[in-house]
Amino acid sequence: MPAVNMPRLSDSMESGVIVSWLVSDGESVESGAPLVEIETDKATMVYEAPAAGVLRIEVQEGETADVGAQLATLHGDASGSDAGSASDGGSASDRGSASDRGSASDGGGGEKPVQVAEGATTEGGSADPDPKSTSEPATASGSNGAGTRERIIASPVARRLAAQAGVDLGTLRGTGPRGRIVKRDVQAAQAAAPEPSAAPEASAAREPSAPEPPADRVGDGGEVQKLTRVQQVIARRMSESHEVVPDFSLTVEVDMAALLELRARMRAEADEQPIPSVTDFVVKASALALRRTPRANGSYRDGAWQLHDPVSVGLAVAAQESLLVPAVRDADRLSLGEIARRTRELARRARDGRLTPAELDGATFTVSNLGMFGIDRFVAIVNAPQAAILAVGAVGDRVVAHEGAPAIRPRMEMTLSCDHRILYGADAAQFLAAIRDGLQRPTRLLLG
Amino acid sequence: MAELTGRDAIRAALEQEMARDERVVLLGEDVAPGGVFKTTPGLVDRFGAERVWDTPISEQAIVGSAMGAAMGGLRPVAEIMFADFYATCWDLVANEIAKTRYMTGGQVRLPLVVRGSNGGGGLGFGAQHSQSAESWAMCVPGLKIACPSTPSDFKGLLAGAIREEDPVLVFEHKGLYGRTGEVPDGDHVVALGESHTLREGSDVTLVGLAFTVGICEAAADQLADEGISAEVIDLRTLVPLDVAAVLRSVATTNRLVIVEEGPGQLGWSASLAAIVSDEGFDDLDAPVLRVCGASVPLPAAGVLEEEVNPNAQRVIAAVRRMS
Repeated sequence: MPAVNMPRLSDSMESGVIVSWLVSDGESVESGAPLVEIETDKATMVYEAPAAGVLRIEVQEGETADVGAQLATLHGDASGSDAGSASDGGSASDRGSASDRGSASDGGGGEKPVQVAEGATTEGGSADPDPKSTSEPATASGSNGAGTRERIIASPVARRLAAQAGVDLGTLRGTGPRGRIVKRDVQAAQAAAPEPSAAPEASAAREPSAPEPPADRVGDGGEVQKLTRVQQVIARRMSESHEVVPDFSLTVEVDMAALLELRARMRAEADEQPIPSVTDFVVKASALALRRTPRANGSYRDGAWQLHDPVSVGLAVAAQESLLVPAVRDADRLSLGEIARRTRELARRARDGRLTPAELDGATFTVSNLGMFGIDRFVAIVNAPQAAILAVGAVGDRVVAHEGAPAIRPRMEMTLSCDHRILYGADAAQFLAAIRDGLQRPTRLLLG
Repeated sequence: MAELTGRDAIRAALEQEMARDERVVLLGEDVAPGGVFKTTPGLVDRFGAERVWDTPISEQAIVGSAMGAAMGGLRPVAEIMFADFYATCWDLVANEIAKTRYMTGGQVRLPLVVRGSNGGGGLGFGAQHSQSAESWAMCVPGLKIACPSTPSDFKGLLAGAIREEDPVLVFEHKGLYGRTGEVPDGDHVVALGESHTLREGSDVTLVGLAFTVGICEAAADQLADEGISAEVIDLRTLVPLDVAAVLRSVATTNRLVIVEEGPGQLGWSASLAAIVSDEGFDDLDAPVLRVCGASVPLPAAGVLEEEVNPNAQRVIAAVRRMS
């Protein structure tokens, strides 16, 4: 009767908290199936069943146990695994398996945004086995979005149907073996969301043959909504970033008169081309400043500064009850007009759930603009492992001192949140000032 | 229609074809007295010793004589008592019979049938008399392979094999000789290469051959009680292989379990799984699973043979594993 013991999920781990059992007491579980979510000092990770059997839980959710302590037992061989099951026993149940799986790059699922599945949370810890991930920061957004390179596990027919129906696999919760997204999950999402743009709710509808989950209700009569994978990832990564990154923020106010004047001239003289938005100007100004401030374009990882070569500015985009951060690659080398075309295309594809993994990958800095909602100022959460994130407010007329007299000027506030482990106060101040100067002298942005 | 056993259906096919075409002759060990599995009784009385030949105990001599007879213009049906004994005559079957038409540029065709008992069936014949040899033969291009599962097909497929212009091996599962079933009266011929869908289903496709078709049906019955709707396909022949029917079915059910009695370390189910994984990839909701015999010499003890060979419970476990 194999025991389930508290695994050592990181080098420094001494005990862990049972966040949730993913299999109920008395249910049978297959070897390698996700069994329990364990919170360590670094992250919350999914631990897989080390053997097949019927689960008898001994340590309840919310309780803490030392490494090596017995958490549960697995009785007998529950689900009659036939002779063939040995061949897929490769789902290693040791502590390395979750992060190993997490490091797998997208092998071919190709056309969909790639999301983090359970277990890809060792980054930030010292045990990240994937050398690639140290050089290519994940693309989670600071104040908001998420999305990394983990491959979505979905069956071929689920992929085909999802592609045909425009369903974003990353928003689905797989109900197949080991959480695989299978045909019924895509069908359920379609049934739940007749409009392709609406947010699919995987638990809303199922095939009749699938067991109906008990309706989760809050005590006061409200409902409990399960998170999609992307939402789970956003939640986890934001808490991690908030807990781990020693952050500080700086705010500047930008005089936007020259920029608005330049935009007005562009609007008057451009033919069919899209006029760069304020956000596009911010992207360009940030990119040029990043080029001159290598540590703002870097990552603090494993006790070292990684200074990235390409300048890729991620844009936080709200999409389908989720947040995605598509990246404008080489934004420092692109003209404003080209940035404008790319950001429109990326935003459209984000809303349609049609971003490719490549487009979601590799941002070295993030811009989040809530100005369109009339927000004057906000502080974003650093999108680790990026060094900083810029929160952009609305452009509005304000009374300010201008050339020795009160004047009404269009102004905009920007707040830069920084990871102090790589970007220090004075450097950050100069970096932010450089962005402001670019926006206040926008013709420079046309030349840069 | 008549209710016949498998062995009676074979006899009916032989009688039908011998009456229809006087070039059809039988040869094998003890075929004149009726055969050790009682598949040929009385045929010598009706058609005479010139057309029903008893041979010495030499499988090489039997298939070699059949080859020569076919070259000489007859349409021989040779009996190999146990398919395990193909091992003694591969030179003739694999190197000569399978290749004659190709190597003579089509000038010489061999309209011959080699038939005999195959597989286990829980009869305790042991390691040298219970093997599933159909996959051995499938390795050799140039041989057609039929594996009937019902008395009706024992008659129809054997008749179809005899009417082929090229060599056909018919593997008769010895666990099915005694089973009864409805068999059409009169001229009954089943063309090679057409599978039979026994029941339609929506959740999973179970593919069986010969004895494992019944295992698939039993599994489908139990799965139906659990609300899982299984489609059951009897492949009937391995060469030609009715891939199209399996792909059509998988396009509906999105899941495939293939049940082969032979050892899973190779076998026709592996070939079919590979084809479906290729041509049917976008229709799959789960990996193609195979339920096969264990990769061991078959034990003689009945309980151990049951342990080694596929059964309905293992098929059901496979289906549960993929849903």
